[in-house]
Order: sequence, then C-alpha cells, then structure tokens
Amino acid sequence: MSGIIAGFWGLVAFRFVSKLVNSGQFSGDSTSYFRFTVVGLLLVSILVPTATGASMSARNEQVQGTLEYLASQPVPRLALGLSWSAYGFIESSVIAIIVAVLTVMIGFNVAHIDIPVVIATIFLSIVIFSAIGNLGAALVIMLQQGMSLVAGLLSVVVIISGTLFPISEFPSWIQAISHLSPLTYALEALRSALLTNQAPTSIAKDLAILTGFALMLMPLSSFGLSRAFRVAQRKGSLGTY
Amino acid sequence: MVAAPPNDSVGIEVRELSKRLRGKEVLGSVNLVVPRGTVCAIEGRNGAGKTTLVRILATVMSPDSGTARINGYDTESHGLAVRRSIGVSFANERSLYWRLNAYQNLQFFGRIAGMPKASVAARSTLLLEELNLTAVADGQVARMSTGQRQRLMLARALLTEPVVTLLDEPFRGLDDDGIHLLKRVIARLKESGNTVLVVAPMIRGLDWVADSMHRLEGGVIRTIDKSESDGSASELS
Repeated sequence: MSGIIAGFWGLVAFRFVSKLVNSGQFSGDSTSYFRFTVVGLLLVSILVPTATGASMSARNEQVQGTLEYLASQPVPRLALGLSWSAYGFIESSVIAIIVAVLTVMIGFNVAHIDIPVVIATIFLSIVIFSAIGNLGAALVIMLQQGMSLVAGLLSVVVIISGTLFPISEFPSWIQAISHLSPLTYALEALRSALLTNQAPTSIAKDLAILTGFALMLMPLSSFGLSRAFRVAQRKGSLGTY
Repeated sequence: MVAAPPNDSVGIEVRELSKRLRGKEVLGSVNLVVPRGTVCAIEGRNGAGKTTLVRILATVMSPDSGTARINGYDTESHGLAVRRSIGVSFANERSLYWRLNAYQNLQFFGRIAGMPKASVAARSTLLLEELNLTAVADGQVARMSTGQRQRLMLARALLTEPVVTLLDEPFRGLDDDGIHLLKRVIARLKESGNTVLVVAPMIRGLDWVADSMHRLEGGVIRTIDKSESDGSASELS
C-alpha cells in the first residue's frame, strides 16, 4: 500500500511540475511533460525493483542464515537468482499497474498504443534488468556486500537515461554515456509506442539494441551467478554474512 | 527422486579430501566409504571439521583437493544430481524461515525442490506427526524451542524422500524424548535402505543402529571399534 501511495504521490507532483515546463519539446501543451515523466517513472518503478530485488533477496537470505540451505536444494543456482528478481518484479508490477490506473484520473492519456511494441519493450527490459539484478546478487554472494553499489549505479542510470528529462537536455558527454544504458532505448521505444507517432524503423532500432543487451547480459549474469556460488563455496562463506 | 545412480553399492565416498579455511587446515586427508543403506556416525570435538565435511557433501563448500561422491555423483562436477539425492540438516536453526510456521517452511522447501503441492502437503503432515510437531505446526518458527526447530530441520531434510541423509549435530537441543524419536527415525531410514551420515560431538548412543563409527580428529578420520563406546551409551540414550 505504501508503494502505491508513494508512486501515485510522486506522479501527482509531476502533474503540477509539468505546468511550469513550457520549453523545448514540451512547449504548447502543459500535459506533455507530465506524460513524458509518467511513462519514464512507471517503467523505472518496475525495472529498478526487479534489479535491486535480486541483490536484496540474496542479502536477506545471507543475513537470515537461509542462503546456505537454499544452495543445498535440488534447484539450479540460476533459478534461485531468477526467483529473487521475480519477487521484486511481481510486486513492483502490481504497484505500477495500480498507479497507472490512478494516473489516468489526474490527466494522463496516451496518443495511441502500439501494444506489440509495449509488450516487447517491457519484456526485453525485464530480461535485461533481471540479468543486471543477478549480477548484483552475484556480488553480494561473493563479497557479502555490493547492494549499495547496485542501488547507486541504478540511480545514475535512471537519471542519465532520460527518465525525467529528455537526454537531449544533457551535456554531450552525458548523452554519450546515456547511449550505453539499455534504459535509454527502453524509454525511447516505450514513449514512441505510447506518446508519439515515431517511424517504425526508429522503434525497430531501439528494440534491436535492447535485444542485443538481453543476449549479452543473460549469459553474463548466468556465468556471474554461477561463478559467485563457486567462489563462495571455495571460501566456505555461503553460511556467513 | 533420482535417475539411476552411476554406483549402486556406495552411498558416500570420500577420497583424500582436504580443506583449509582462513589459513587453518580443517580437513587433512579424509577418506570415508559408507555403503548404501547403512548408517555411519562420525564424532569429533568442536572445530574438528565435521560440519565442513557435511558442507562439502551437501555441495555448499568446495574441497581444496580430493573427491567426494554421493551415490557415485561427484559433488563438484555433478552438484545438482548430488542435491537431488540428499536431504540435509545443518547445525544451524537460522536456516529455517522464522517468520513462517513449520508447515509453511516445509511447503516452501518442498515446492522449490519441485515436489507437487499435494505431495508436499501429505508428506509434511506425515513428518510433522512422526516428529511430534503437529501441535506446534501452525505457530511461527520464531516461537518454537530449539529442540522443536531441530526436529523441524530433520522433517525438512526428509521431505523429498532422499536416498542419502546428512545430519549435522542432530541431537543438539533435543530432550530425552526427542533423542529417542530421532534414533527411531534413523533406524527407520536404515530399514528403508537410506544411507545416513550423522556427525556430532558424541555418537556413542548410536552404536546399536550405526553400521560404522568414526572419529574425526586432527583433520583425519579413524574408525572407532564399537566396543570403545561401550559404557558410554548413556550419553545419548
């Protein structure tokens, strides 16, 4: 419940902030900045808990003392990592859907909906952020710390990827970095699918890049998690925190 | 639970196993063979390496050298197959979810082990009854006594009907009734063809059910003649 209230309250604030924004690509329509931020914040509100959920769950299991026993269970270690991400994803998705419905009541509307693109973008983003989450969980398992590193990195990614401001407003060097973030392409694709009538080739390019990130990060996170368990097994640290 | 094992006659096999932790040798060169369907008990002082041995067999710790096999499966190269064969109870009551009740703990672990919901429910009810936990099954684990948690950890270890059971200090916190109950369970497991490894500071009350008894000392295992335990049986009776 607190998640729903916090999410909704944040968007209400941006509803009023948007009335002050009347420049650049948002000029002429007081709701356009609001719509821009709603899409960004809703996507981020699903993806960030998906990524941080894995490292948080791994750390909780470590501190509770259940991690070692879980590792002795007849289940692949990668499945453990995915289940940790899934918990954050499911919880945050339910919250995001409720907040999205409430947001319509305060003026959010979409120009059109390209459902296949929306589904593909969200699916690819979840795969990517689950993989990032598993890399975070790997750090926690290996080093018994790393949660704050993951959270800090994600907060930077959220800002530079254009969640709250178009990346065109950033200095050129930040814009260059933002193109290394998968969230940049996810936001561009989702906004194109909901708010603008962008050329299909532009959306296809974003989806192709997201697919590339997913294909690169999935095996990397699988390797990372398996390696982390190996290191912890060698150190004998699965049962300690 | 497990597909045809590569070795039919040996339940647990350990060869030249060594492990150092934080610069200290915990296991020197441990050798152990436990035939299938037998009970093996290992005693040793605190810090002798008993838990380290169980952890290696349970695939949550890697040896520095040597090999450990469960039903012929190497713990390093066939970890998942090993984990499908074993049921383990570590000497760590924090390995339970304390905010859940006994029944929910069994449900959770049964489900992640891939058991169908109905099987977990039936098996949980049976084990909770056998281990005299039915009356407290609905209460949070946090409110249980140490002995009750110990019995719950045993129930969890037996949930998937493993072919090899590893019990690390299973007598800890148990009262006389609990000890008798545990011994009965070990005897039942043996009758049903299970391979059981018990490690504890004292194992002398297990001489009537154990097929082999050993002492882990100075990083190596030596076999104890059962007669060595005569007269000390009261310690675990």
